[in-house]
Amino acid sequence: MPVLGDRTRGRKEEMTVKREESSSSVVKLGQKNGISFYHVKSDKFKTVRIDIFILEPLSKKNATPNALIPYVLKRGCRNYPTQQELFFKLEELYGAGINVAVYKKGEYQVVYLNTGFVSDKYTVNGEKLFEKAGGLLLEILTDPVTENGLFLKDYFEQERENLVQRIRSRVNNKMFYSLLRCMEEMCKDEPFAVYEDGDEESAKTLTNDELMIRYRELMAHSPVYVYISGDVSDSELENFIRRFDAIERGNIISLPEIQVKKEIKEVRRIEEPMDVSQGKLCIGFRTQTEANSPEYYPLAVYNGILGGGVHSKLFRNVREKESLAYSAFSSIEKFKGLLVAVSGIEISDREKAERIIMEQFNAIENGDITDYEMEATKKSFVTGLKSMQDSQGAMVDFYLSQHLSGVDDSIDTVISKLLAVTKEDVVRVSKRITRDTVYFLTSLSGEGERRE
Amino acid sequence: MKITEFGRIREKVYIHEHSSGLKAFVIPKKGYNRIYSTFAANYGSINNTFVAPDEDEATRVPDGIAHFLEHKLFEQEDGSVMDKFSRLGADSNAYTSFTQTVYLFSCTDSFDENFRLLIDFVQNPYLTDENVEKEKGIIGQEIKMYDDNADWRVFFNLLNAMYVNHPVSTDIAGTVESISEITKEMLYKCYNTFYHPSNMIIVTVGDVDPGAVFDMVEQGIKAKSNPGSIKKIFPDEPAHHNMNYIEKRLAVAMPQFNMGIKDNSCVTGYDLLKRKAALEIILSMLMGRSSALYNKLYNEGLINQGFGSEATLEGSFGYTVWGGQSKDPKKVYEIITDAIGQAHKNELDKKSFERIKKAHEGRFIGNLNSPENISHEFIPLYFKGAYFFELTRVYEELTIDDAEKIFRDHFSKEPALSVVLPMK
Repeated sequence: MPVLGDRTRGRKEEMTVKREESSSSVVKLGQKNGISFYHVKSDKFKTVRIDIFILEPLSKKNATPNALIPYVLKRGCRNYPTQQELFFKLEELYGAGINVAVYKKGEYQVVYLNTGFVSDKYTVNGEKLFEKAGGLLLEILTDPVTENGLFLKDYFEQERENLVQRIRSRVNNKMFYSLLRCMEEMCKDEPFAVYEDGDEESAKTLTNDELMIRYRELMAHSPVYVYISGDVSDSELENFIRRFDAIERGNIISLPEIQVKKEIKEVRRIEEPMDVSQGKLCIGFRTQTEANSPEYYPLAVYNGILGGGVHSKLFRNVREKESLAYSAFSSIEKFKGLLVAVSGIEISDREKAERIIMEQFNAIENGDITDYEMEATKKSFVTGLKSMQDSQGAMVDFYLSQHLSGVDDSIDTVISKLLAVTKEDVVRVSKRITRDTVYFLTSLSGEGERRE
Repeated sequence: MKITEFGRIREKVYIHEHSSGLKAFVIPKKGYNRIYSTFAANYGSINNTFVAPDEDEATRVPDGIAHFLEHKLFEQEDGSVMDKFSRLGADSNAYTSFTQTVYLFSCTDSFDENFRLLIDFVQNPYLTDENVEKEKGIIGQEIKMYDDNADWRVFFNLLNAMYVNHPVSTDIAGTVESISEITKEMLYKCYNTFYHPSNMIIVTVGDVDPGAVFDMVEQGIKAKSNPGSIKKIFPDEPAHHNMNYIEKRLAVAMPQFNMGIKDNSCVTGYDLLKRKAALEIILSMLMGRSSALYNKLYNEGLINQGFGSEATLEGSFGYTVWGGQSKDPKKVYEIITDAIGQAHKNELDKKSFERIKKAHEGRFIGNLNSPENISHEFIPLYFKGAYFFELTRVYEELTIDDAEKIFRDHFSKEPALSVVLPMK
């Protein structure tokens, strides 16, 4: 492991693999040097997967290099120095996938690497894939191709260019872009406003030296969560975990607390013109509710009633009753405590749509919640939480969110807490939800016609 | 009740045929909490010309009518069906493709009630002049959403470049103008023609008792006899592409492109499954992640990780398509077209073929984790006379010689290119 940890001498902790049952199907295998290992048990799936999450505080300074690192790593490693050789190898491993991504949860930036492959039941002669694919993923993370102690120049430059394009391409999906922009405007002076892929200017001025320094810091100091899902034996797990010992770790940074509460003095209005035929109206609210607060459960029910599905007030009124939109929903950013109501509308319908959306918001605050809305919302959560257990990826995401917010409720506990929420609870949380920003993506002319 | 087992992939299908001609399937998923159930009609956006039952003349209906009907079926005299599913804790939805309309729900509790509701509402349309008119606003916004979607536009433009006459090149939802012509009477006519159980299947994936599901099908399906086949009319489609190049400007950051080749084979059944699998393996061999071509394009900065390819075969039409983002789509077009030309001069590489076939089989097995995936693949293939799980046999039997023949047959014409450019 030549490039790692030579800046800070690693401190080593001893770890014994002990199984702590923390909820119905996830087992904590241990924690060492700021790396936590979990096994998401189940033998009903045909695949095994390994998910590695490296956590960083979201910052303008580091977001861009962090966003570039996994894509440069994926270009090749010591034994498979080109992408072509790497993919060739993955094809031999029954089409195993290696995926990387960068995204944010609240004000944490997540650098993500994953591999997924068929379980040994489906290989010829029971060929064992876990060690091979897991080893490959680790090699990609820890043993990149270097020259003079830096990443290969070509890889660095090509992936930096791809990153710039990725940052620019966020306008492509108009609904997602509007939601993102609304939240950025809401938090414009807070870390949350930093985009998960960083920014174009920083990408253009970033050097290969700076990237290597950042990579070493990330490897030495960032908290890491590793989830292994599927049918894997204890000895395979232990061997895999032991391989992480080779990573030299220094002091592990602690993730800062996310500021959720914010007083809003005045509602801001943002209008962004673009060459589009449909307008996107986003109304952003502060929920003033932390992810680990007991009030989070009533808030989740609140969001379900407002815009969380076909039973919700937004769907039934904005879409079904008024025919103003095809898409009308609300969504929560759990960690930052934001809630945004989104709809895709005719540009000339803006005022009417905003009025109708705000009527729904006010109705909940006034206790105008039907039994049907309560019941349908709760049932939809129960269905969602039970269904989640049929997907390895969804379970890993659930547990990561739980572990990051310091909540250790099992799925059954989450279900019972949601079921216990009353109308009074929902009205209570609704009273502290404050409108922050109204964002509208509109056409260049501000009218419903697009130039051809 | 018939049972077919697929040992290699550890899957089973239970099949039941109703006297109306409807087929019901159960694909058990032991240990899964969620049950995913669909009621599908072999009727999609391409079926805009047909002979209605008891008529002799062909009817041409406005574009987008199958999708419009899908929306309207959720409305019943006593309210929205979605509300009824919500009350039962189920997620309900529907989608319309080129060739099918699929109604579905998924639930973890109260399966029987949800399943009866699904069977019931699809058999009971409730259309009024008012509710048809009202839907035009919602669908109008759905159409506009897709107008701004570059992935969607670049793909439909490619279909327009490839197809001269076939209705596959028409947007599934139609246009704001075409849907304005839709009336209650037209919708009923389409419903009465295509929603006979003999033209439909019911597929349930999950941890359920197949016998109990089939009992509910027996009790729930109203039609008792099979009227025979429906006359669906398609125009003749020439072998050549309509045009080689098409472009449009939209608010995107970077040009997007799709390239493709129309498939003229019109195969069905096991042959379709085999040809589709072979085409996808060939695409991976030519331009997949481990190919020289992909890596050349990637290293030159002409494509990025979003580049991908696939093959679609739907009986009356078919195509291979590949694309992504590029700063220079025309250059990519030249390089790929040239590489396909070069490939014609040699034989396909047997080692690559075997390795990629193994990789595709692995991904096929991995996709069987998801009940949605299984349904999504199972339904269109069944309507074309093929069983999705038979893919396991295809991967066993498909040889390099088969692939060689299919390669030479399909990749015999110059690809078409569709580009969406950023605004000036």
